[in-house]
Amino acid sequence: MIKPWKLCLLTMGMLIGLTVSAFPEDTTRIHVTILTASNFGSDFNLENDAFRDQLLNLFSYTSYNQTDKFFIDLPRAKRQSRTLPGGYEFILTLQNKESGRILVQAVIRKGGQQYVDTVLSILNPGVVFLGGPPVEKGVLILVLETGY
Amino acid sequence: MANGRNNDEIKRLYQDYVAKELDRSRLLQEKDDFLKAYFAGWPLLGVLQFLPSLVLIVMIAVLVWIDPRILHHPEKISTPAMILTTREVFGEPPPVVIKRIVSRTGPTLVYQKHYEKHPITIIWIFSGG
Amino acid sequence: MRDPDDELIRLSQQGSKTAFGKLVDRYYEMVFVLAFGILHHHEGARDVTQDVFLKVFREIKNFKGESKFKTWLYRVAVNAAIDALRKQRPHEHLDGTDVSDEDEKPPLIVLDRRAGPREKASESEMRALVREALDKLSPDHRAALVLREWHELSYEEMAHALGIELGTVMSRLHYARKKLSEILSLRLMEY
Repeated sequence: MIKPWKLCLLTMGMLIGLTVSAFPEDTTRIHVTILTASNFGSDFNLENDAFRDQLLNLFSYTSYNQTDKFFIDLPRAKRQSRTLPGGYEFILTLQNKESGRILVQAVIRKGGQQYVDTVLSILNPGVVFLGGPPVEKGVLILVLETGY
Repeated sequence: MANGRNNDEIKRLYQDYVAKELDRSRLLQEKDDFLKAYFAGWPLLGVLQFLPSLVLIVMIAVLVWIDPRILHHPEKISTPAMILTTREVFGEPPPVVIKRIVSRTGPTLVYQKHYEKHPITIIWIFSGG
Repeated sequence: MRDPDDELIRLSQQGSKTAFGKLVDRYYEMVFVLAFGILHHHEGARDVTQDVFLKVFREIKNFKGESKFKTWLYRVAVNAAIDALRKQRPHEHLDGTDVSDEDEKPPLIVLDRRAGPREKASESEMRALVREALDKLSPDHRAALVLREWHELSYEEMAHALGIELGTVMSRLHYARKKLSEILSLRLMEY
């Protein structure tokens, strides 16, 4: 029978080990915020207030609803995908990283249809708004932030 | 001059309104209650509060140890995208450079602007094209 | 730029609730009055104020000191109060913002040289009139008024707090004062 304190130490050690292995070198972290913009209602529930003025100035939608936010950790040349509202799939791939810039490929697709396939060279830190895929009563806008 | 007098009058009315409408004693009581509830610092036996959280972390760690597939594994790609064209909006070097953009659903628009000292880049896909 | 709150911010970023509590103590009333100036009722202002501080505590690690802490706090509070007001009044069409002076018709000003109506209206009636007039302003104009007339921020400080250009600050303030003056003038004529 393993003593409780030994089990505790063992599991903490494993946790640390797993954490270290989950973040290998040459990994870039990108923060993604998912918004649904529409002209139905006037919701505005974004957590990041820095986007608020930008969205109001750039677009004419009346409602911006934050539906999700998450970090994506990108090891070099390995694809990471996430499901978006409306049945879309969002795929990010880190292609290169040098001189304070990252080169990422961003793809949004649904079923067999590709909505956008773009390759961006972004100076860290940076912000890119990627929008347009239609969802029920609105459109998706993804906010990609680098430099974490 | 008339405008200045008018502004002074507005200011006086506004300050008078806010000063009289504010229930300051209630405000101060609410502030104290808020501070006690959220920012009172660690109680003497504070560490014990985290025992349930610690147990949960240990349980998760044991589960992951049993079946590492609980963690998401990224799939490898065989052919990374090729760099085809560049588009530069700002001076050298721009904060975001669109190396390539392709859409099968319609035209795309790239909009870049110096917005309040922070450059902004928007990529928009128009559907139904 | 030396921020008087530097040390408390640094400790708060390390997770010190005691340090952040001191910031709350320092700025609670400021944020409350700002929220009250936009929402015009105590409970709403209290809820917004407390939400703002909880949010700021969660995000203080991201505060890089590019502006003063107070300016950042103003900005978070204005946005939170305006969002709260919009949630309360989702379908109401508020007056247009940032209207150019050139597009506006000059207000009808009636000069009444008889005994001042303000002397006749009681203090509480005057406050009710002011509240009624303020209720007719959009959230952005309310924010401009409270920052200038109560907090007495400079135009530049207001621009930073609201995240807008200096010209827009002056235009909003001018419009808010003019609108307030119009409404009060018309209502006072009824006394």
